[in-house]
Amino acid sequence: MSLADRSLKPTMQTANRPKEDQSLLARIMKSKYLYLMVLPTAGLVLLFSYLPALIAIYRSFYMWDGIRLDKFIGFGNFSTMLQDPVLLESIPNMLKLLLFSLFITLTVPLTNAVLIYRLAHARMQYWLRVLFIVPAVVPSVVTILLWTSFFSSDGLINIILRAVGLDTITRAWLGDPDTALYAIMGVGFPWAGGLTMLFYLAGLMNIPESLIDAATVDGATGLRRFWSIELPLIMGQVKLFIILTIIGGLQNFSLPLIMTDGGPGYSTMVPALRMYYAATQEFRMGYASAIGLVLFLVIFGLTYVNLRYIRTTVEFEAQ
Amino acid sequence: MRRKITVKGFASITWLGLMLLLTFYPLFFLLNVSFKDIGQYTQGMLAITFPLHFENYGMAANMLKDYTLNSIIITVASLAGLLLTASLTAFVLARYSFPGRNIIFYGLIGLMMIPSVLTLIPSYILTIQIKIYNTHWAVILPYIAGGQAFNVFVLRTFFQGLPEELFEAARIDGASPLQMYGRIALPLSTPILSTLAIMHVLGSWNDYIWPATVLQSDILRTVAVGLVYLNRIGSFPDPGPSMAGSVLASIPLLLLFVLSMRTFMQGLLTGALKI
Repeated sequence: MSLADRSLKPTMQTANRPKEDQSLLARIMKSKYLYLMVLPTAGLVLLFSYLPALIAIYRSFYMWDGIRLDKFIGFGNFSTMLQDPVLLESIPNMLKLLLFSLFITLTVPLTNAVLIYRLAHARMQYWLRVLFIVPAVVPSVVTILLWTSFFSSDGLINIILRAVGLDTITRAWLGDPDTALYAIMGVGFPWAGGLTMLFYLAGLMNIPESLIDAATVDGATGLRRFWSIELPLIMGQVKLFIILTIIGGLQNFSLPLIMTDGGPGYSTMVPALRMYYAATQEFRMGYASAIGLVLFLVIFGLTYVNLRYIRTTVEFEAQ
Repeated sequence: MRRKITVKGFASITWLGLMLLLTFYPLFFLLNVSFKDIGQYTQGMLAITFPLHFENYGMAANMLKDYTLNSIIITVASLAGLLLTASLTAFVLARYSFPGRNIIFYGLIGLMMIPSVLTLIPSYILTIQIKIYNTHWAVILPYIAGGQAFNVFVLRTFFQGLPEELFEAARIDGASPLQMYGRIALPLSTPILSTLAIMHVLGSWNDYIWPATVLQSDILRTVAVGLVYLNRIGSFPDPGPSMAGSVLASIPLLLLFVLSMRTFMQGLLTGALKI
């Protein structure tokens, strides 16, 4: 991403660089097969990535149902957003889910990675890595369906609660507006985060052994070693995952879509799901595009603020 | 000192073991229930009960076989298309200089800044307008397009690292760019291609929202979409066959994981860089 073209090695055409007097047209003609080779990529990307992005921006200013209704309304969609009670209710839900996943990303997988990293037994390290990854391979819809069943009135959660004598709090967790959002957070407990953990661990394993040895000689062990050596040296990974979690938290909606449809009421509605329903159920394509655009701008802004940190990671990885 | 370390080591192992236990218990639960009939389920959901009802799997397989075939078609077609187009572009961008090269390169890298939430709805309408809505193409083509930025980026870096001497002799013999790509660059890039392939398969097999949006007909659905659909409309008579279906939907990727563990982990690590 941050690797610019200056890293480009001398290529074969620089070896026999076209003479300066060759016109641009001649150089283009000379490279016609190269353009042909790039054409499939260029065509697909223009059609399926850039065009939709442009449509999204353009249509944000229209009242549009995708078929007939097609009317320019300026910032109308954006002022509608400010008065859309469902959308407004969905924002705190998204923030709660986002804060929770940020908290998880920074705790459980990091702890696990450090503990695995510190194990002296290389073979055990390898197998722990493999085992923690397995759940990441299970299709996410399988995980979501399974947890949906756990939260049902006769599901695993209630069975456990009854077994320990907490009958009074048993309920259909996803059917109760007071608990549905928290049930969604519970999916994937204990959130060992195979992929995040793997990535933290890769960062830890990149720390030069001499550094750790020196720290140990100086008496830095346990928590001290974590705060002074390990954490600073994998800050790149940590920051990257903060950004990825924020981006994911703003745009993912498959959990509420599959588990609750945003309900009961709008207790698990998130803005991205509101956008999806505005388009697929109410056919308000212009309005949905406007919600998408605002989410994009928020993501873009937050990523821009953090761009520096992404670069840190890439450079660290390249070492 | 020595003793303290051992106590700590023991504590870590206990913690990690507990984590693994809690992580794997849901999967064990899934597998266990997948063999139960309704009586065994209501009376002993948590216990291992006999006889094991293998017929749950027969029923689930029957319900999921068309969906699975659709997933295979979409995954294989988009994978072939993605790796072919991305490697061609990456090769050209890495080894040649021509007018417009930087525009193309930055045009691709810039794509990483466009989140799916912005393009989801317009892409959905686009598939209707270009008349591929409710066909497999509506999933395959956007998958190929969506993977370009990252795959070209990774492959371009790889092709740049190949020594120029490899191509020199061929160039003197008058080989075309396409020949050099096919005969020299591509055969050398099998490891990086398999890493990218695994990432793509993982993503396309598991994807839910896009195929659920553009595939309307039941006969076109992917296994992820079909599985959710069958559960939501209550097609499974009881939890046993439903969970057997979940197990079946998970098997292809688990198999792929077991067969190519190192490449797989490499793929996951590479993928984490993707935004």
